[in-house]
Amino acid sequence: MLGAIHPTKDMDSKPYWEWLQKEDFRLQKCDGCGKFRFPPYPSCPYCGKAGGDWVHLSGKGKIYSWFVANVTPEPRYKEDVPYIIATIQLEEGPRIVSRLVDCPPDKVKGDMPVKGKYHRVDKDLVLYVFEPA
Amino acid sequence: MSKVSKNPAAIVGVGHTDYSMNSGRSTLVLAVEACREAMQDAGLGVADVDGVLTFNTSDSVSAEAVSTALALENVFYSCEWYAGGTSPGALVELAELLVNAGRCKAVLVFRSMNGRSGYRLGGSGWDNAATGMWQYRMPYGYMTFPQTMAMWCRRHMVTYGTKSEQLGAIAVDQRSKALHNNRAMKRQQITMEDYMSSRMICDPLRLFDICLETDGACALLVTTADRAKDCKKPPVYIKAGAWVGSKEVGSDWADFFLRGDMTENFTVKLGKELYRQSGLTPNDIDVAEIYDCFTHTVLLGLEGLGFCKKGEGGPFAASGAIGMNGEIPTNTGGGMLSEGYIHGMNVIAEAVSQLRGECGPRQVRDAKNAIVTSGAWIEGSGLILSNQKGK
Repeated sequence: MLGAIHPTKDMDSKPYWEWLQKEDFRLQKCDGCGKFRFPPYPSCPYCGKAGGDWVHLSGKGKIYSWFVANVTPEPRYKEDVPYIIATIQLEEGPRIVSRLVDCPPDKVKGDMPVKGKYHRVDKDLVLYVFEPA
Repeated sequence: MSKVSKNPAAIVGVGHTDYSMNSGRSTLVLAVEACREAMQDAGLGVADVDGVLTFNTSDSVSAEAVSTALALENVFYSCEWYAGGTSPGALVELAELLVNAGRCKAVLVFRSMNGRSGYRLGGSGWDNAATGMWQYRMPYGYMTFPQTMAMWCRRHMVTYGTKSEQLGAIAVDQRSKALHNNRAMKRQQITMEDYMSSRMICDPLRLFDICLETDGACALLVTTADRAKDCKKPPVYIKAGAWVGSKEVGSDWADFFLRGDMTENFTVKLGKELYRQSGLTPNDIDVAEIYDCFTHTVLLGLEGLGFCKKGEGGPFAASGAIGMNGEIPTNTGGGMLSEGYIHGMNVIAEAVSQLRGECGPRQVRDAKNAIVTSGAWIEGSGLILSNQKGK
């Protein structure tokens, strides 16, 4: 089941998951070069500047690439098979990977527009999934 | 910065265990078997070998355990990388640096694994804890090696129109070579129909796009050009060796978040560096041994190393260019898709055998120079090997 394995949060990632828990998709934005980054890092991977505020993103993006998981070695995800995992090019710049939902596997196209939405797994976890825009 | 290729170090020994699905022996026993065979192959003994290098993913023995079990008299360098398929070329290059710097006389490089009966990289070998970068992938169900390569492969298909049948041509071609390799685990010919009907694992990748899971060990022995003259077999010189990284590499092997272009891999950068060091060009290369954890890495390697243009790897592979009589015979022993998966060590070993002229019915005639890669994604390593000391 989507979200059956919970993320093991760490000191760098904690704010990301805490914002998602409040159903607010935020990433760090460098106050040096102005770029958003994903995944969370203590400094900007583009210019090296430390810090950066957590800023809300639109959730709009395009499919850069994807695959269909036809089988899985993980018993906790067997009921989801086949499911789609996509690399999303977000409008604001960074890329993220997530589940593409509400889309049959044979309808996915490269560069297809998608939109993020919150998926509450349980009281401790909200994931950010994508659907066709 | 030009490489000192006037006196390149040489690979003088090769050792393999049998490759199987269930070795019935420990990774220590396998490692010692392969290392002893490499020493015997070279005609070097326990007083001659004084360095041991290896890599693993916490699924094998330490370099120290092997030097102890071999009863090496002196060890002046020993190391063990926690790393995967990016390592073999880089460790052979490290062995070269050690012998040419006078730190060691002769250095063993080995990989030993019970990849089928023990720790399986495909799944059962790990605990599925979503730590580090996995916390951003695993909760969604993104967690296996084939899935990561499928993500790269799909973008190549979107951008260049690469087709399943073109990946299939690689799988079928490599199997035809494995028929002539007694070490190969798979020695039954497959057809394009078999490929297309093989089980879809993570669309676009099928079962036959994925390498085997193997128990076994493979070892190489490196020494200086001067010492190589007295060894039993003709030396295979290391004309170039490099490891290439990238600022896009992120924090683990499956971290592609910062990667801009997933239609090419590290081999673009690697090829440039190897050709620069050696002064050779793709036209000078007679054999390519490209790290084939998946068919798609072969395609990316053919493009990255300059055997065809970017985006044309599919049609190039399907044209027969990679076959024994093609423009660039590739993965001549069947590769990891058909011979076995010793994490890229056996990929280098096949290049050495080709350059020694030991390959019988799968021998590339008059092979002088071979290129080898280690790795699949953003970073990796590789070598240009030659049976000619000069250019």
